Amino acid sequence: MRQETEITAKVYAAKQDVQKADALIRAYIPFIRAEASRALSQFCTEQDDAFSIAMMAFHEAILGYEQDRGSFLSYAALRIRSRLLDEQRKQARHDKELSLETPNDGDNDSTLADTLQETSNPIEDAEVQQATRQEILELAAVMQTFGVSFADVADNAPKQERTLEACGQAIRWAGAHPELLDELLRTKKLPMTKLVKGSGVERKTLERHRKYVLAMLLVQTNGYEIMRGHLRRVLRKRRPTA
Amino acid sequence: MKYMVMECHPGFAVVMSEDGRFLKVANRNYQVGQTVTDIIEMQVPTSKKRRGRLHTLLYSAATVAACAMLAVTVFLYQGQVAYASVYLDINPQVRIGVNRQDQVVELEADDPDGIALLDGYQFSQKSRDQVVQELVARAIDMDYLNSGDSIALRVEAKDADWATQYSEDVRAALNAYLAQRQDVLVDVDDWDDLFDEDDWDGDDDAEEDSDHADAEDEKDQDDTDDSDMDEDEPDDRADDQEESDDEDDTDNEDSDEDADE
Repeated sequence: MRQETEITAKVYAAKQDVQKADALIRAYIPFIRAEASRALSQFCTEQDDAFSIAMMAFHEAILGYEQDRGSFLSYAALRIRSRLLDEQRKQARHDKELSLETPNDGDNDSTLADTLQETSNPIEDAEVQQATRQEILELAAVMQTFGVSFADVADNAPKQERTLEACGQAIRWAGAHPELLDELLRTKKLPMTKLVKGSGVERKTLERHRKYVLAMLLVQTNGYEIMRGHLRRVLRKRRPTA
Repeated sequence: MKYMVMECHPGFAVVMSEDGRFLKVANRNYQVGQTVTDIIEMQVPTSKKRRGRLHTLLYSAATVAACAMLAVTVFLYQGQVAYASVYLDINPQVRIGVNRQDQVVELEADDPDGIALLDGYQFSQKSRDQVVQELVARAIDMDYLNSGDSIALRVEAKDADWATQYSEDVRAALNAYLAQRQDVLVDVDDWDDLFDEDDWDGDDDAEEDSDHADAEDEKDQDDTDDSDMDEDEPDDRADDQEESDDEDDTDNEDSDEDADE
């Protein structure tokens, strides 16, 4: 009984704090793996997709848990099982399509993907990834000074198409006015009034997605070439090529 | 769609899509800086349900509040709207609107005398009987009402039976009050008897004792209406004749049957 209240308290703390959630998940990796294996009735390694999904399901369980739902661990187990079955069903729908991961006939080690012509150099890819990583870590460090993490941004980002477009409008306007970005870096404050006036986007919308707007403005400050390339559809007003 | 992996946690990864969305997805051994295409988005199950529960609570609270307001409004409205009208003809004519608690909610006059009678008179928070008495007292003071005069009374309400009963109550209260007044002798009459257009024997009825007037009036009216062909012969006399005079028996029987029909 005491054990149960202890974990309930931990779960409630983890709802607010991503670090605590991470720690809680790490502590329960054996439980998660066991539940995943049980749901799929086959052994599940930490490299399996199912394991990743089970880990995410456990995190979802932390965020979604309420005391009136019974004990946390049985709730989490249920969440893991239903999430895995959901994904399996989704996968089954695509089963008729040929996956690139399907083993090549006659050759056990290679998959269909390997038979495709290499479009890029794997070493170059690794270099790009390293450079990207560097950029992202730098941006994360700057965002840290504003007290914002990417997880916060993900929670704060607009989900509706219309809101996303409205925020995009403000973000593009800021990109065209470098003095605004300078002010942001200098004062460590989002120049909201100027942004609202200049872009014509409703203040309420921008306030609601403040952290998201902040991250997208910071991406447009110096450096971050790769990320800007990734986001070119948003940052440059061009119709996305389908 | 390509997604750039921005942040990794054991339970999830944060990715940024090309169209500027930030998503929490399953961390399939991702590394920061990696670009991926196939993602499994995180779904937080309860926030919606919790909001729903809050909404349900709000809705039920709002419903209860609305019902309460409606009930209170109806209750207050009922208190303010006249359920019945008491017409009082002292010579000035006034109409007294009363609610179901016998409280006066309206008071109005049609003729100049009535307006003069009501001028400066406050009726709010007063009972029906109090207003009737005070108006009669005012009428006496203002010389509208003198000894030998009569007051006509009529009650109107949707429920006719109730109105008749109510009229009796008002009449009784008014008579009780007038009995106390030693200075004037005033009768209380039924309005209908005084003001019926073709009430030819109305004057006779008006002279009768007002306490019994109501019931007997009806009877008298019925009888007199029917005895038109008897040429105003009073009924009790006809009965006497029936007993005493054997020769007229058949004729009288005929006329009696006619009267009964």
